[in-house]
Amino acid sequence: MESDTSENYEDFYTEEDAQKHEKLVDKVLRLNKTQHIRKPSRTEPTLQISEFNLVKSSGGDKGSVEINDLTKSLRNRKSRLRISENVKRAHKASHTLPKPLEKPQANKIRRTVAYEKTRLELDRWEATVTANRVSTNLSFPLNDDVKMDQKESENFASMWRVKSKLAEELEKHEPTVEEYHISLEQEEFPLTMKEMLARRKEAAKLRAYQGYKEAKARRQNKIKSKKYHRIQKREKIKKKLKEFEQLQKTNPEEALKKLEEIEKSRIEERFSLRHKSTGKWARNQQIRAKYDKESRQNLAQQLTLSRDLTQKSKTNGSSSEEEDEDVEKAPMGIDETNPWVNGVKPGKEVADFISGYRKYWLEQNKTAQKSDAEKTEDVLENSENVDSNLIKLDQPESNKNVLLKKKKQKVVTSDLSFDVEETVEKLEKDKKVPQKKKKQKRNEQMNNSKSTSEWEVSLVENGEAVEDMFKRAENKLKKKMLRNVKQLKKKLVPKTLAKLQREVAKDKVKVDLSLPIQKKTPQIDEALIENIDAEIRSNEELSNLKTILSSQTKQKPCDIDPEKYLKINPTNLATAIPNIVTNEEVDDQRAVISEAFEDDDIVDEFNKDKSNEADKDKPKNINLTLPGWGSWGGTGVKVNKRKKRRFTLKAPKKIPRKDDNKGFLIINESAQNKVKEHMVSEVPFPFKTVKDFEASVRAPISNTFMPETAYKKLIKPAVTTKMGTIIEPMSKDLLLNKNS
Amino acid sequence: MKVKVISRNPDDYLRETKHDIHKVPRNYDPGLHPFEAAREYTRALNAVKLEKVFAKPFVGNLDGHRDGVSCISNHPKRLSVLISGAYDGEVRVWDLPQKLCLRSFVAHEGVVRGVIYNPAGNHFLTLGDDKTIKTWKTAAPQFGEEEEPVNTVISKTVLTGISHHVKDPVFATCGEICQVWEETRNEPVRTFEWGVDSLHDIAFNPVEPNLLASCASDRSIILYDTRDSGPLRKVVLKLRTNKICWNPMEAFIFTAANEDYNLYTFDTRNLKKPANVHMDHIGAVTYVDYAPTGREFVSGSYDKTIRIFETSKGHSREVYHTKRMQRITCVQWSLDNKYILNGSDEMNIRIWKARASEKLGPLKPREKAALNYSEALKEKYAAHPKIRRIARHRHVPKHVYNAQKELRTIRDKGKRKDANRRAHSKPGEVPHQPEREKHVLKEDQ
Repeated sequence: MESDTSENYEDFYTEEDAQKHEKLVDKVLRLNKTQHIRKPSRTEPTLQISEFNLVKSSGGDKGSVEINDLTKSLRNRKSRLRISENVKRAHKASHTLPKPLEKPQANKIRRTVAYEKTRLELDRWEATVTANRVSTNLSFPLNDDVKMDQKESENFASMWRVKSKLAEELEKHEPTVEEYHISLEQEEFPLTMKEMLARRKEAAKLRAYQGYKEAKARRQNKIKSKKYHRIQKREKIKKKLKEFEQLQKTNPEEALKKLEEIEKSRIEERFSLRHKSTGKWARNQQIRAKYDKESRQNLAQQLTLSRDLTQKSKTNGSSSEEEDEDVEKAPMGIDETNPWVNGVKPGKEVADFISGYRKYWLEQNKTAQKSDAEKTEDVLENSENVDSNLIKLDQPESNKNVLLKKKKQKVVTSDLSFDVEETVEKLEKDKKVPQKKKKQKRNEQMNNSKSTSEWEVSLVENGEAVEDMFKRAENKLKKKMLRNVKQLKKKLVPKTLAKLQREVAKDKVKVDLSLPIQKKTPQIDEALIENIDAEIRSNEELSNLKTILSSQTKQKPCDIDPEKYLKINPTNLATAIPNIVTNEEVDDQRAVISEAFEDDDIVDEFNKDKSNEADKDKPKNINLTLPGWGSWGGTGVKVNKRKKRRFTLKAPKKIPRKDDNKGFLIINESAQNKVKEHMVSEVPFPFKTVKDFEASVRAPISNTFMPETAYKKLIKPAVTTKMGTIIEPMSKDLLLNKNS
Repeated sequence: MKVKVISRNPDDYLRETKHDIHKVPRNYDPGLHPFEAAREYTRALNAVKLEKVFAKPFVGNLDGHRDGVSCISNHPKRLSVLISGAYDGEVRVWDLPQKLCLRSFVAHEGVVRGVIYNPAGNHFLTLGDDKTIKTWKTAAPQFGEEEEPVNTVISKTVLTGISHHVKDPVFATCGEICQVWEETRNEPVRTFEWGVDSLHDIAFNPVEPNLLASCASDRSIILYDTRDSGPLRKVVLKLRTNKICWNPMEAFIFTAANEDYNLYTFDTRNLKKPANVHMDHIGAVTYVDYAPTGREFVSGSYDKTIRIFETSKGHSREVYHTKRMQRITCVQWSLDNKYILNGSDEMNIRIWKARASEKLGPLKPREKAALNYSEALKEKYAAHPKIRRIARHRHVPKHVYNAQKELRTIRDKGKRKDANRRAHSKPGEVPHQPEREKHVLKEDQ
């Protein structure tokens, strides 16, 4: 009522009256005790409008003014009809903007996009950096043309100018105010129009990309459909599988890890009760299954799912027996109505196929009974032809495991079906008419079944001859052979292939410009040998003895004395040096020598020498007693015997020697020691073979052995710096193409 | 009768001027020099011994601060100037060749957290615990004038670190949040936030100057883009990173000094694992700075030593220490690649040579050639055990030696345990984890 009156008298009210009226209405409303939420009203113009006041009016839609209502008042006049139309059109065309993404999500998207961009930007440096890393000698500062600072040069010139008297005078009166100047030049090189446009374009592209990503995220967040999510999930699984396969090829270690994860999930599934037919839902379904086809299917699906999930994942090199079993199992009739029967995959396609197949089989039975033996023979011939043709067709696509079975077995693959049909038809046109009909029928049925490419389905005709069985066996053998060959090939090929792929993958991740190192020198990357002073001065003898003692237990002396057994005939070494000494001569010489030294006992003498040598090399006992430590010391005081015994480090009585059991041979073991400590024990890092390393050492670098120019090149240091020059960080000018 | 006369062309044996080297006719046939390698080896051995004889890296000491030195900064245009801030709020300007203090004044109440020159070198900024950023003139005040900042900005938040843009009058500070300032304005131009943890260090990329990196107290390193997008990515390590430094010659490489005694070199484009792990310190690494050549970096540590690392190698090539030097708070590599300056807890700033046995000052060409030659020889024979032993032998204080021994046993223990676990479990269950993959916890997008 109120609103009506106010509308009527609106024009006559002054502002004061309006306020008064409002107050009155307020008072009246207050009489009514119940609290009304009032619309917030602004009295002051402010820049910041609180978001809390942006509610819909308390009175519902009535309170707000709609443009349509306003335009209604215009309809009377013809000239303004246009306006209302425009408004309507605008109203139709416009729609509310989508709610912005949640902040964390939006931020994440922004960050990922920005990071990718910066990564690309940083990639531009790859070439420069690699070039610098590889180069054998760099001289810093890098940029050769030293830029003179323009301003500095100006100042420099002005310093030498003689000032006039007037200028000096002026300076006295107006001391120069030191100003705090900061150059605000952002760009050193002002952009051209083209560059500016390019930059704008790039920014727009980036924004669009970001927007696209956001929109996608938003869209996906909104979808509630279970089916969609199911499909999504399936896709994800497929993708994962694909990735896994890829991984298997490229990175077997990772793949193994993943496989373990799968195994783990399988185990979890096994000991959980999920996907078993024991739950409430499953029991309900069971009850319903008698009458409802859908519930039956559901149950079957559930069971197969559990079976799939709990099945051990097959290893790649599964034995041929299993596969054979599969082949034979497939054609076995699967009772569609019974979900508990071991159906390998009760998908719709398979079910369809099976039903079709059954029909066909029944028909076939009937016709087989009717037909003559001759006719069947003809059919056999015909099918043989077809098969051979099929094989020919197949050859280019040998990768796609299309299996073909000769005689009475047909394979229809989705990939090939069309071509096969055509060829079959063509062939049959040439042949007799009655068979043609039959054939076509068969083909039609097969095509109806729409089997997938991975499924191998074979049709078995009723009357199986013994001959056919043999042939089948032959086929199987052939298949096995083929498979074996394939596996072998796989084993041989993928190593290199995997390597290549890995390299490709690496390339994708980042630009790789690595070059072989030009100058090979041993790279030593190991900790410094850090010591305190005391450690250096250690008793050499003591340490020697200690090492001997520690190593003693490990060595096992062999107890065989070859002298005791028998004299071994000299073996001729395979050398290029001709064996001049003949046996006869040797015998002669021996006789001469024995004659000359008849009186001397050479053997005895030699043995004495040998034992002397051994004694010389034997480590001696070390006496560590300190005179006067713990007892009286001085001249004439004897050190306690027990103490002496206690503090002497005893050397082992016998140390195994290399010449222990070598008979008439003395090996001087210490002769090598002096050289040994200078020799390298293992090939240092960048070198791969001893030969390479030896070659690098053998090549001299000094000017005693090399011409002066070569010498100068060889001794060039890796890094040279100019004295007293500041080395500035690399600047972006390096990336500019100076020629253009 | 035929008479044979010995005749020699003087061009073959006489030099043109006395500044030339004597002409020595030589036959370079390797068959005539059977002991080439042996002779060079001996020379290399001598060279490496001489290197040790001349290895005297300590150059000088700047004393004057009355509290520990908290931060130092090089002048971007002059090699002889250094500026340092201390824990008591004092800032000092030093003349390096004369080892003199040119200026000293109290700049802040409380600790001076950061000192930095602007790229032109005519002003420097200081940053203190009193939440102020002060701008000072490089030129010393005239006689009678007082030390006064040109500009003082009072920040709303705590400030802990500062880094200046290479060219522009823009600098960034960190504290509770990361802020980018323009020198002419008193309000930050931009602020970046990611998470609630406080930041304790920040560094502008010198090559790609719109990239910023900072380390936060939640053990993470955060990358920012100053242009528009703000934070880019975050890497979380096992322990806190104390300081980061960008490689001045390789735009995408930076090194982080970590609390777990190691330094990690990262490639910005692949943050999943560090490009290199540098280990040798036996205390938390507090500071890292790159050589201007980008080939090496120096690190200071809580274990009272300074170490120099080559960027491509995992172990240090040099360790510096003195008896009185305490915990290192800051290290700087001088811009001519010759010296290393470091401030430490015990109020001194020390000057070191970057290469311990390098001869300072101008060299005669022959001298230079001889030094280069011996350097090349050392490089060539580096793998030989005698030379290696001498070249890599360092004397370290007892506490470092002992701590190192302890650390080694700890690491060995870990390795042994791993090996045992691997040996006694199903093959492939306990895979070998390379050192580089052990330290990064996660990479946040």
